[in-house]
Amino acid sequence: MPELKCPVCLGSVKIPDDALDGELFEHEECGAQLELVTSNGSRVLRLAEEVGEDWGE
Amino acid sequence: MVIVVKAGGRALQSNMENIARNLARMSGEGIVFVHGGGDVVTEYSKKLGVTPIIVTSPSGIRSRYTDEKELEVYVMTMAGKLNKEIVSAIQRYGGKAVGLSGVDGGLLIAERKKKIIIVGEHGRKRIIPGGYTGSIRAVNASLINQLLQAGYLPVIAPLALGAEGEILNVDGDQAASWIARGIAAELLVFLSDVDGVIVDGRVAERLTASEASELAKKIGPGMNRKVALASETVLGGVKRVLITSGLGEDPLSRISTLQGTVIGE
Repeated sequence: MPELKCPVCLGSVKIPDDALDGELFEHEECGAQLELVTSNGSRVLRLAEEVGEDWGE
Repeated sequence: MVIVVKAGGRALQSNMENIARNLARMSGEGIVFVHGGGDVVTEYSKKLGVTPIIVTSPSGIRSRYTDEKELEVYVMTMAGKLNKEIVSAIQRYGGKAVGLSGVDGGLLIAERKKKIIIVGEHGRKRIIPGGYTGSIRAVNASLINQLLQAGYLPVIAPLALGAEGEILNVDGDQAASWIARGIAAELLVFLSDVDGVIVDGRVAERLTASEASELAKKIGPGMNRKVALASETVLGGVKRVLITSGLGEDPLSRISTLQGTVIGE
């Protein structure tokens, strides 16, 4: 299970092996809601933006 | 009295003729009809070889994910086939109906969702591009009022115009709620395939907006969304919302007796 750095508190966040880009993880230590993204070929966590729910028909 | 009636796809599919006959009888009396039809879109997506993608939100709401191909089928089915079938049925029974989508005349203006949160295949939350769905932000009430004043019954498909002129898929219940608030309707009616909001095995007859808002947190997916929206609609100035069955021979007769669940002050 890879570990990535939390961009908020710089602590370590464990990510499942099968995680996909866009998946959200809450960092238990600091409570930050983080989004997994691929940037320049590397997987990193960034602070997730506020997104509402889908309301299509 | 101005009334907005919304029927979901299931009520329409199983009872289109009776709903249309009832609407025709009330045509010219200040009625606006908003239709759903997600199941019909799914049926035609399959016929056209476009596999529908249904996504689940973190709170358990399942909805259609509208990509470019899906949007084409959505527009053809909702604003085309389904809308025109309803209009023709109302006219066959002597009503004066005009079919419109939220795109026509900028009837419904929506903000395109850039991103949405879904529950992904591993059961974890995931952010994906929003596709062609939107959240309604404005309604062109004067167009609807002009049609009502001329004695027409507007039949509205749940599409909206985005900020860049794009066509967007919007939720039919939300469309009905926005229209009801926009034209200051006295009553919004949700015709569903159940008799009302079931609480402890019985239909809850009367709820205040705050009771409905609390109840929405405890009841099952589908109805929770309707109940929460009913509460918002009442707080937005519509006197009452009636959630009732769209089935049976005279489904709109329940309006005069307010049979079902009434949300209001």
